[in-house]
Amino acid sequence: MNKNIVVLFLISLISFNAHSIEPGPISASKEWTAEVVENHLVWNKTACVAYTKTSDDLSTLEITSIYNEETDTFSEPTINILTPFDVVFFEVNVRLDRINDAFSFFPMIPERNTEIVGARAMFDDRQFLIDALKGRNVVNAKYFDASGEVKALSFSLSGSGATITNFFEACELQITERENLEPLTLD
Amino acid sequence: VSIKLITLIVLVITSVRANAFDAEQAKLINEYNSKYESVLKEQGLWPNEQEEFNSKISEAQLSYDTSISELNAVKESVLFLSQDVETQVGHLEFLNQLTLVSEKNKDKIKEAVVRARIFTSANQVNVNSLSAKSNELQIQIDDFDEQIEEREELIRRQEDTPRYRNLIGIKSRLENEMSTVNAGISNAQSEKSILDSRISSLKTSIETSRQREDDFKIEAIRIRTQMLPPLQAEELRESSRLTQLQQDLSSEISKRDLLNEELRELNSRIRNIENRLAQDPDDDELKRRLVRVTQNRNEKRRERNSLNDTISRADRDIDRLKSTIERLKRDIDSKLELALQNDAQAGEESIKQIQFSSQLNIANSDLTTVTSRLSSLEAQQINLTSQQAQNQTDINNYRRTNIFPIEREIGIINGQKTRVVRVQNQILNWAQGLERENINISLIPDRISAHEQIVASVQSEFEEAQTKLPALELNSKRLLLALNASKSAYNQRVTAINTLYTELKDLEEKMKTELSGGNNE
Repeated sequence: MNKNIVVLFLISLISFNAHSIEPGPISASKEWTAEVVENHLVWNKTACVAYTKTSDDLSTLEITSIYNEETDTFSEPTINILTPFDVVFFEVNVRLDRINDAFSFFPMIPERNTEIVGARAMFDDRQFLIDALKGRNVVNAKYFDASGEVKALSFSLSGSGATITNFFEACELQITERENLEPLTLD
Repeated sequence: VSIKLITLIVLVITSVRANAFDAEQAKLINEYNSKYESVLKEQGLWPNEQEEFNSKISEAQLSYDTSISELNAVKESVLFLSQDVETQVGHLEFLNQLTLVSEKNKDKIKEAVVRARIFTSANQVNVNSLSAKSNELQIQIDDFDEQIEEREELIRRQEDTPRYRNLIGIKSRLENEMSTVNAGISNAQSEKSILDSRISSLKTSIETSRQREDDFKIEAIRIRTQMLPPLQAEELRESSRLTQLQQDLSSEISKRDLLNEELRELNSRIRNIENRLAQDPDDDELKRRLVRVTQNRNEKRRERNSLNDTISRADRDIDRLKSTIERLKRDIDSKLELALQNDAQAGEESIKQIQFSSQLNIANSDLTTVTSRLSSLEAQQINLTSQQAQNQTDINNYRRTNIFPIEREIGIINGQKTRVVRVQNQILNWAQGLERENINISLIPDRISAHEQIVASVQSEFEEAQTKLPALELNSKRLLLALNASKSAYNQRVTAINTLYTELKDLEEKMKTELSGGNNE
């Protein structure tokens, strides 16, 4: 039952018809899709997203950027895993052949309600993770559910490179470099 | 309806899932999520804010830099003007001292005049008194010139006497004659040189030709005595052999004619026997006779054929011998011709020698003539040299007696005149020096006045520039404060975002410990 609901939820996620900032598809390649959605079901806001799903369609790996009306721009992107399971903590491995990079994902609370429906990559890991998602071939996510049991999810990265690149260009996204936040020297 | 239903179901599920965390963990997660969103939001605003900050800072920096440039330009100007004031004041002081310097120069000139005893006191010395003195000396100089002119007139008269004119006339004539004789000697020497060269050349030609004549003669003798005799002897031998061969050939031809006659006789006999055998084929005697005669005829034929071969060989030998004799005759003729040619060339060389000898005789004769002429001219030259020496002695004697005393007087007067001119030049120099210093002294007040105006002007510029400095320095300080204020605002904003970021990082560390640590256990 849970599985079906989440599938429906995720399908509805990618079927928004946004108007104010030209909502609609941006790019799709193999297992990855990018688009602008209006009234995102989880975040309850207009967002620019690039995502892929597990083979059972129950879980989603998504790069999300929320629209800011004040500045008329999309915010810096975050990387999230949305899943119907009782996740406490995610440990994500992005792999190319035998090379592994590990990232931690912490629980998050969406805007629409106060409950947790997934996990989010650490703030400083975003740029590394996005580069890894573009260049590697598979994502394995190990998670701990509420009962302390260890579970696994697997996401394909087939088509991720082109889709994520188009996603960044179309929504004019960037991640601020820390050097830009260095204080100035006074004369 | 279906969307509402789905939403409701999601809410139920998530509500159940939230129970998985305890209250403290839920609080931590809430705080972390909230901080994450804040940093995202603030950091997202930063690029635009940074652009605005940078624009303001650039503007403030530009204003500050401009004010500093302006301040530095005025400072440089003040420095330059202060140096200029110093320089101009120094120059004014120099001008003020110039009159004193000129007066000192004038005193030095006056002292020099007194030392030279032109005047007894310095008070007497001035441009006019010096000019008057110079004029006095000029009268003396003119007097000297007059005396010199008188004596020069005396010299001219002495040089215009008949005796002196005659001596000069002789000198001129001797010089002309000497010039002509020298030209003649030069020509004769040139001709003699050419003739010497020609005689030498002709002698060489005669010797060469004589040598060639001897060579041709020797060659003709060698041909006749060494080359011809062997050829002639060989020709004689070959001719004898030819005669012998021709005699042998005649003998062989006679033999062959006899054999031919015998063969005709034997053939006739054979035909007879054959005719008779035709009538009586069984006559054995006839048959035997036929065989015998036929054998005899065949024997004669072989002899004749052999003789024919011998005659043919003899004919060929005779032809070869004739050819050899012809060749030998040609060789002999050729050698004879060569000997004759050598004889002819020897003759030609002999004729040449006669021609060269004739030319040599003419050249020798010419040389004798030229040598004789040259000797005559050289004798004339010696004679003229002697006459010129005598003439020059006469002239010198005349001048020593009649002109040199006057010239000595002119020399003495010239010496006196030179001394006076030297004093006059010195006086004129002093007068000019005094005049120059007087002019300098008269010009100095105007120069001082003009320069005082320059000093005042530069001083005024300097003071004006100096008054600008405090306001400009104040403005620069104010603009620097404004610039630092803009930067401080920038830094405050950066600090605020960085504080949020640091708090987020702390929370991430805490989350990692609380969540992953707990689960890993």
